[in-house]
Formats: sequence, C-alpha cells, structure tokens
Amino acid sequence: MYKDLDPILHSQLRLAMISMLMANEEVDFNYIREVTNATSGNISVQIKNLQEAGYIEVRKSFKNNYQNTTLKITQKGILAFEKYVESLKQYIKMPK
Amino acid sequence: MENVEKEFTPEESLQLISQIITKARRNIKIAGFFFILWGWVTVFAALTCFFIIKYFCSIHLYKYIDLGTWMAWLIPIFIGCVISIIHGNKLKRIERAKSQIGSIIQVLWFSNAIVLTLAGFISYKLKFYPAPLILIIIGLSTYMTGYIIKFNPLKYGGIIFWISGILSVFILNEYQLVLTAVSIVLGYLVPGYLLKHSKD
Repeated sequence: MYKDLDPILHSQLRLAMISMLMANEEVDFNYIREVTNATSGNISVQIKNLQEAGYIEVRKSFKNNYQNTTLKITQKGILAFEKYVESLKQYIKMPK
Repeated sequence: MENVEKEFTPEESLQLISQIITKARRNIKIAGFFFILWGWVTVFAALTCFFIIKYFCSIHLYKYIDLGTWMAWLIPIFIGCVISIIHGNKLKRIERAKSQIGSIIQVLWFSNAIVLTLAGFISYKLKFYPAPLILIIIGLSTYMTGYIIKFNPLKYGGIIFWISGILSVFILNEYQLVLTAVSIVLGYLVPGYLLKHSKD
C-alpha cells in the first residue's frame, strides 16, 4: 500500500520527529518524548534510522550537567519531507 | 505513538504533521513575557519623562533635550535589557526545542532595537522629538510579530501604533508622551497579557 510514500517517513513516530524538526531549528530528545509519549528506547531506534537515511544530524552535549541529545534536520531530510508531503497530496486527490 | 510501523493513511499523516507544527507554534506564548516587560518599561519611561517636563521645567518639549529626560528613558531601558538578558538565558537553559518562528521574531525585535537607537540619534541631531518615528517603527515590528505568530491582538496593536504615530505629529508638546504611554498600553501591554494567557 502507498508504495510511492517514502517508507522512512511513513511511520508515525519518524514522521512526528521529522515534522518537529521542520518546525524547529533544533529539538531535544526530551521534547520528542514529551510530545510523542513514545518510550526512550523506541525514540533512540528511530533516531538511528533517520540518521542512517541522512535525514537528521545528531549532536550529543551536556546541558545543566546532564547528557543531552539534540537533533537537527539535514537538507536531504527537508527535501525528503517536501517530497513526502507532495506524494500525500497526490494520494488525497486520487478518487477512492 | 508506540506502534512504530502501524500503517496509516495519507489523511492521518497530514493530520499528524499539522498537529506537530501547531504545537511548535504554541511555544511562542513565552514571547508574552517580553511584551509585558517592555510595555511596562516604556510606559514608566514615557510618564516619568512627561512629569519631568511638565513639573520641573518650562521649556518647550522640542527644545528640551537634557540629562533628566534622557535618563528617564535610558535607566528603565537599561534595567529592561538586564532583565531580558537574565530571563532569556534562563529560557535558553530550559528550552528543549528552538523554534524557527521564535528565532525570526528575535531577529525582528533586535533589528527594531537598532533602528530605534538610530532614530533616537537622528532626532537628537536634527532636534526633533522622536515619538512619531518610534511609534511607527514599533508598530511595524508589532504588526509583523502578530502576522508571523497568527495572533490578531498584536496586529491590532501595530495598527494602534501607526495611528498614534500620525496623531503625535499634531501634538507638539509634552502630551505626546502621554499619547505614547496610552498607545503602549493598548498596542503592547494588552496584546502581551492576552498572549500570555492565550490557550493556543
């Protein structure tokens, strides 16, 4: 089903993460957990998938003495998201 | 959102994207603090300046550029800058998502501060009181902020500043400062409080 849709993005959690990164310059790991209610393990797996696809950049640092993971979308990620939204529009226009 | 690979429809995808982007916009509520802070700072400065001119000197406003009236503005502005920097750093420490809209608004108001400083310098050199210029410049930034965050009270605030800017040209005495204070209350403080207490 929906074979034209990018399989990396056509997953609820990964799409939510990429949408957050489209609306924000940078996003913290904890913000993703708060907005999506997903588990840390699940988020970590999806970060790895998105990073391997080249859609996001991951930066680890220390914030208030705690380790902090910050995500940022790449140019490839932006193009993939725009293409994904265009494909969605095509599907929605198609008669059912 | 635990079931990662659950199949979902294009409509659900678009709905999800829209929800997440709306959530990012809601974070902008924190800007209300800065509108309230700078609203009170400038109202206090304008009224202090008014009382100094009204009760401590008899010289016409446009000829009266002395230390007292400058200090009436510079001291509150300095205090406002210190509070803004402290609060801004505090927000930076707890910030978990750096919104693009937030950055655009920050740059807009930073440029606004530069233009206001230049307008102050120009009015000082050309010997005219800067209120009309200041009001229309603040009006532009207030209207743009309202447009960017889709918050109508700020757009109306911007329009109030433009109208006050024109009106102030016809008030060539210290009451120009009262008009400035009133327009800051209506164009800045009221939208600031509405933004702070808004649900979305």
